[in-house]
Amino acid sequence: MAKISSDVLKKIERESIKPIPRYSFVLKRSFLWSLFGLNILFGSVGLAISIYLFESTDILNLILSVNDFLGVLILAIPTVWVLLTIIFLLVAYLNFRYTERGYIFSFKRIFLINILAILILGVILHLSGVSERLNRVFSQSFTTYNLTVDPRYKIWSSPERGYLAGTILSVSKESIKIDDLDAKRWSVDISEAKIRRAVRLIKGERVKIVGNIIDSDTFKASDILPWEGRGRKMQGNHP
Amino acid sequence: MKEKILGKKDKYRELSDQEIVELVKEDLEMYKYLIERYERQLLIYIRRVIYISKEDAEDILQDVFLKVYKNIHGYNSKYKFSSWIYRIAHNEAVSFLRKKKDAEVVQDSDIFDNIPSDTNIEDEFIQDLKSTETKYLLSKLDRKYRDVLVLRYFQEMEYNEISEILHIPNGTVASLISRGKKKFKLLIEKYGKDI
Repeated sequence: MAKISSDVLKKIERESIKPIPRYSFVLKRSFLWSLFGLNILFGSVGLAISIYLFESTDILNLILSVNDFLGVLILAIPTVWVLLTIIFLLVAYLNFRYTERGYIFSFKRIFLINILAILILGVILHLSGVSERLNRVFSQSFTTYNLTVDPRYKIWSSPERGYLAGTILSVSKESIKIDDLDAKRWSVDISEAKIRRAVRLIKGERVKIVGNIIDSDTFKASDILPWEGRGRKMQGNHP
Repeated sequence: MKEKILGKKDKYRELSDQEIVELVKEDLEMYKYLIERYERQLLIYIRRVIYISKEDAEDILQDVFLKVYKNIHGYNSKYKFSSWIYRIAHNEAVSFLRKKKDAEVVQDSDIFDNIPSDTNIEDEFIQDLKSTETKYLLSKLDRKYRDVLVLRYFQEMEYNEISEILHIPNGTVASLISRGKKKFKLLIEKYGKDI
């Protein structure tokens, strides 16, 4: 047995093996924790934008008026952001698991802690308006972002199902003209429409319209909602 | 002179692992006291977890001590040094097995001949476990069960130490031990007569 200790000591001396410096372990630990923190932050941003986009579809405000509610509800899920949130959650779990004492917690416990952290931070980011601002930044920075990520573009681009959205070009007493999300021009009859409080019927404003097609370029509106959904409080009827 | 050296040796033998680790950081010579303290038990442990020849186990052990020295600043003195060094030994043993996938695994009960029998016998299960025949049966268990049973009943470690070595939660250690014991008893029923 004495042979092993002398062999080891000789090898260390012969090959001039030096212990790895303390700072590299400190760096490694800090790196793991920073990565964990970043993943929780990114996950929270993902969740915040998911909530914002889902809310903006206004689908929960239309439960009674929407046909095929389940189908539309599935369309309203911002899949890309939800998937990104799940990926960040999984990476955060792995980061935490490989911290020095990460193994003492069970999978369920770490997962629950991470979900709670992402949930709390995500809701705070959403309520403070960060999610809306970030979504606008992404929307302006990436040309395909709106079509691929924002569920409003999927739901509110189907006039045949009763959902139309677009930018107002002109306003008259009983109708408005809009360019829809595919730049097609529509004349929208608003004479019997319920116009929500947050909607401003002015040129350049983007709106969401529930109703039905009259002919190839005419749509009859039953409900007009703002493009940027901000929850029920701002969704009341016009006085 | 001889008395002086012996006196020095005895002095270091009384120090805790953590104290010797601090000395090793300053003086390589002190490392031999740590090696002497752990070489025998780690050699036995490695041979109990993976069934390999004594020479291979000694090679692994050398790598373990080199790795321990290289990473000595990474040891956190808040936790037990023994758990840390066993963890490194465990990882080295596992990586040796991976590298030597096609190697023949020694499944002969003779390999246990050199293993001293333990004295702290707790119950009938441990009695069974310590007989040569059942040590052979142990080699037929899945590694995850064998790992915890060896650490618990051969190395006589507490659940929290096993948790630190294998990096699994305490609850998982408990359930693996419980399931491992049941599976082991089934093995005795199935193969016991043929041994």
